Amino acid sequence: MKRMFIWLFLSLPGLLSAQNATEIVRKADEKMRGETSHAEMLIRTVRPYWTREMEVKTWMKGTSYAMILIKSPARDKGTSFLKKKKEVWNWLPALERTIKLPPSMMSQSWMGTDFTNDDLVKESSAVEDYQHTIIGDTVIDSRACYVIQFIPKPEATVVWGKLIVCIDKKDFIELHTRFYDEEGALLNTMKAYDVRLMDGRTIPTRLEMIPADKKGQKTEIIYRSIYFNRPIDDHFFSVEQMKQQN
Amino acid sequence: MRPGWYILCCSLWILIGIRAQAQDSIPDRQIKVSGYIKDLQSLLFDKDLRHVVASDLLHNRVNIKWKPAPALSGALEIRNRVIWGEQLAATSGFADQVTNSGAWVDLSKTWVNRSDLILVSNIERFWIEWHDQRWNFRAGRQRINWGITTMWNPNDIFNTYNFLDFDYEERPGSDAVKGSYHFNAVSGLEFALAGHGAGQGSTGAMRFFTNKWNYDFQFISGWYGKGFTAGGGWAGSIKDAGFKGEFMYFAPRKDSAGQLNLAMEWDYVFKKGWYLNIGGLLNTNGPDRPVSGWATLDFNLSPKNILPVRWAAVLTSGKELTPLFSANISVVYSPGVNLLILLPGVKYNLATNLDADIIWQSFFAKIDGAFGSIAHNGFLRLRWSF
Repeated sequence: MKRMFIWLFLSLPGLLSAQNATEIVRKADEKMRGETSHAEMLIRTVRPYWTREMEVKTWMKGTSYAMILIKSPARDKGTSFLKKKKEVWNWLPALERTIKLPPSMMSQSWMGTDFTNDDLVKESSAVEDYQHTIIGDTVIDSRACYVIQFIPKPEATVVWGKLIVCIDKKDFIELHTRFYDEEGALLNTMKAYDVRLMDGRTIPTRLEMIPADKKGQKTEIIYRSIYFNRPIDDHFFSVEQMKQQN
Repeated sequence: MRPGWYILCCSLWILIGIRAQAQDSIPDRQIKVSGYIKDLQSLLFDKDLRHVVASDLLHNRVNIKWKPAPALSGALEIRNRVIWGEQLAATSGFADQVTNSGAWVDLSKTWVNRSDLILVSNIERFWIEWHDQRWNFRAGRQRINWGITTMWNPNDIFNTYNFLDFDYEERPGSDAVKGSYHFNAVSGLEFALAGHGAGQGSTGAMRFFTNKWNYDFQFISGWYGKGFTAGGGWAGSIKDAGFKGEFMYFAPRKDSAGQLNLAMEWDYVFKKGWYLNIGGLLNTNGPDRPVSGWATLDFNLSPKNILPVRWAAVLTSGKELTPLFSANISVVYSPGVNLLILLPGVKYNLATNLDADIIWQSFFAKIDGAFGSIAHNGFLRLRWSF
């Protein structure tokens, strides 16, 4: 009994820190996600010799439901993606048909950008699928931040081996994230800028995803608008609705 | 030209148009115009690549989408094509071949039909739709797309497409009425009735669709031409690979035997973005032995003749080499007939809305006991989307 008490006492700071870290991650996650979100954004793919832009609309509900509709350019306009739990469908307006995508597509680049399908529809949960530890402090753009390490839980099906995430201490904004593979090699860095008030929340409105081994290459996401917690019926996330959005 | 619902549909379109124009408050974006202009250079080679026939196709599509009210929408899509070159002179009746067969109403117009130039316009889609939360009705020329798999679609009984006709991205439509009712977000019933023109009968069918155990399922029953047909399809996954299939049975009739079409495929995306799709097709009425001449293989494709062979396998592989540049190849092989089709292609996005494609088609078969090449086609295509 005494030994157990000592063990508890000794491990309490560690337990508290883990709880704290998860709580910080939860706050940051809720900030960008909400119960539901509906956003309009510009996605800019930058390569050393060219740049392409795409305008999209997104609807999300929790981690289970997401829909993405491409508004421009003309060649891709009307193409949409629907995610329901583990299933993903792609609507091709020219063919007027849906194609169900294989699960192996989730870890692949989305429409040639540096974001994967998983990044966009946020299949994996930052809160539920990882163990979190505060490993230090830093300052980014004059904002004091926690540095938190994310290690995937053994049962979680996530595409990364480890994440290092910097979260603003005051506003709980995820300002900087490094994505590592299972061997510990850095794959991507995500940076967040232009913190502004949108729909009553202080959030970054420009995100940059920079691949580690490719010089002059990045993808930017610029939020034009975002609305949180407006009710979206589960039925909205259906193949039929995907067609009607055009 | 037949009157009936088609004229009714056209009249409704015009009426709504007049109403829409009469109301100043309707914003412009209720009418959306999109489309493209394509130029397709074709080189058709003989089996030894010695003799070549060249032709050129200038292809324009204009799509007008109309949404006068949240529950109401309409579409008018027109395809204009100018074709010139040696192929016209070398092929008799070429103008007839470029218009769609199987339409109930002829909505195509051949403006110029000379031995060196053809100008043809066709109304490809012309429909009006009303929907609410559960119901959806659409009447007019439309595409009824019940296919699930990517290469061959036995369930696509209303408007089969030719997989070699890569330039016809939208594929043909049907003159039809279609209605659907959704029980919930994933399940519902759909029915459709399409006319095919004089002497060709009609197609009518009901489709039940649902989603269970992470699989999409559908079951179809109806008639095709004058015979009963039933089938179904599924789309799901085995581990991380997609697994899809479709089957369709056509009941025997006095003049035709019963027939089963079955297509199945698996697809997977490897870590570096390599896409792989392996599929197979069974057409129980197709020939399963080498043929005596290439012309005996009937490439006039229809729901009963998806590919004129008993068995076929297809392997498609593709990779996005850069976000602008992608390459892919499909290899189709029919073991009985000993037919081999190679379809490699590359695609490059030159500017935001400007794409270039190079596509190749090579045909090989065993004819009169000897396996050899039959023909080769090369294409260069430029597409500007607006």
